[in-house]
Amino acid sequence: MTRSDTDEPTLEVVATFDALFVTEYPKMVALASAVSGDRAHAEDLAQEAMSRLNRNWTKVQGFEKPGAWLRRVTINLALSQKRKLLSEAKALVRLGTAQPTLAAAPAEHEPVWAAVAELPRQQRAAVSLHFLEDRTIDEIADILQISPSTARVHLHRALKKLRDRSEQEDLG
Amino acid sequence: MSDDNGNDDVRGAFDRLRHDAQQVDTMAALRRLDVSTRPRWVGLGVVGVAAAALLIVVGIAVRAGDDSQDSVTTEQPNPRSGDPTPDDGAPRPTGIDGTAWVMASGAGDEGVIPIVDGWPITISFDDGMLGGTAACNGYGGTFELDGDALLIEALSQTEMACDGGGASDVMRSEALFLRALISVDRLTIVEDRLTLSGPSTELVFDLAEPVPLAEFVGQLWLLDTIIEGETASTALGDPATLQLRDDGTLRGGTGCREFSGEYVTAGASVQFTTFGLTGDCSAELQEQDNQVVTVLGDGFTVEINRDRLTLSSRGNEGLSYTAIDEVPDFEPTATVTLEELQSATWTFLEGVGPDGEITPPERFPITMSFSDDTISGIASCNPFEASFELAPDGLTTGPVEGPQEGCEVEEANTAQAAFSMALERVTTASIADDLLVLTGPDTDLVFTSPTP
Repeated sequence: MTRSDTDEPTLEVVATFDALFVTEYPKMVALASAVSGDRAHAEDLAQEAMSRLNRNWTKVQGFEKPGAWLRRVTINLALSQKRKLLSEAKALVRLGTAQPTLAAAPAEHEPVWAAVAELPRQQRAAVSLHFLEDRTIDEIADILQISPSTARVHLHRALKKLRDRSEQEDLG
Repeated sequence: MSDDNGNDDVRGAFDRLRHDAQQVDTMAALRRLDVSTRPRWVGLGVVGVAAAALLIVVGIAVRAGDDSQDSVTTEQPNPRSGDPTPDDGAPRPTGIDGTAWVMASGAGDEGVIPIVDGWPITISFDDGMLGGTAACNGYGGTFELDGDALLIEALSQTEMACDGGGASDVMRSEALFLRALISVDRLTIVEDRLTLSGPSTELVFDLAEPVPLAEFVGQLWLLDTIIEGETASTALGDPATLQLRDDGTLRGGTGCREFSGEYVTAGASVQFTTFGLTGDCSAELQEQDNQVVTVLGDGFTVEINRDRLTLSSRGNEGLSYTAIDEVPDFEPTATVTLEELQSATWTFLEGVGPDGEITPPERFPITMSFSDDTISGIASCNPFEASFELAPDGLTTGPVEGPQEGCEVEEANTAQAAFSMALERVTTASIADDLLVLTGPDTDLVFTSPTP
């Protein structure tokens, strides 16, 4: 697996919170949407993740890999089963009377998202990091705080399931 | 990555999502962050918000006490300003800082505020911020205290709905409390009793028991009972532990998933600020997992009685632990048996060794099978053999032997050398579904057993 050569500035090199927000927020929206399967609330989730980064900035900016921290928080929020945290995010968003601005998925992609939504949680997170950010196995392991071999297995299984589904649809 | 083959439609969907996400209104989101972290003054006097089951109060300034006093705006510490600590000369409340309270009784414009068992109303004060639980939801805001004149502003709350028995009472308790809190303009403390009062409001709080950090932090706890209202059930699955460390980090398990993260104490409760979970749960353990995550994730109060720890969250949900000395078999052991190893011919899927990624070319796969003491197979180019030993704590391999004839495809020769070197370093083996994973120092080899 190779890392994209067109990387934008990452969390590791961006110095100020504002610049970092502008760079990272859209990525967290995409990540939250893919992992939660819920486009309508992806911005709420990303907002909450960025808000937590803001609150913890003094601590997090000293981390070796603050980007992994932010992604972990976003993924956890997106995976939160009872969505209580989502409600929290929504409340913060309501302060600014925000409406979702993320476009709905095109109809032709709906089967893909339905298949992604059926993946177990860790597989969903791994495959999202793989496709959205071209993350390597080591980086996925770092973000999800699992061993590289576990990350490899999660990703492999997710890709296999998605491929099997695609082949079945083609046959069907 | 070769695994991507056949997933073009998936990549297309993710690419489109990434593109769409780049179009969202990032600057509006950034401005909202300002609103949520910086207090704003929009005027003086009491401003009510239309009664609604769910109430959001934004930037409401309630001027406390004597109108002749000058109002002082405080900027909360905000990392975006780059200032680690505020130094704006604003008066900081003294005496009240760091205290936490539980409401004992209350009444506002609309009469007595009901307190529902298991859904306490709490308030705590710290460094110009106040907050707590309003029966169902969390709320927070900023405050200033000048003598006994209290100014509360920038109140906001979460807006989940609480379900279960007595839900309407809980929501009513919350709505009445928050509406009453808006009108509060005076704070008095007599012994262990705090009173917040306004023109027609009186909220009386008892001092909350602080978190017993000395007994709680550092100790290893083992979950044995899940409490849901009146019901208690025995914890199932893997040993579900909990340990908070004094450096602010934590770790533990739910019975099927492991977690780690960070925590803070907020008033009388403990809040996890980050909470990362790994693993998957069987259907049988899903509910327990959910319960553990809910209690820990929502914030909880802590009660310790000798070697018993009880964590309580809203709605009488709780977890009961006993103190233990060491984690009982926290990591799964004996991950692979000889029978499992011998059950298939394994095809190398992907992996890394000391020399980096191992990439056999398409027509030169790496395959292997296990006898009682020998691994044999094809290492991309040539056949190979290596002895192995399976022990309860892992799998070790001997030197890889076999012919060294060169193949016409150079990548096959490279893959053979890299694989041989990696295989000799293997120390552990595990099998999950159809995948065999061999690991060792700088080594991580994944094999699949082709479906018959």
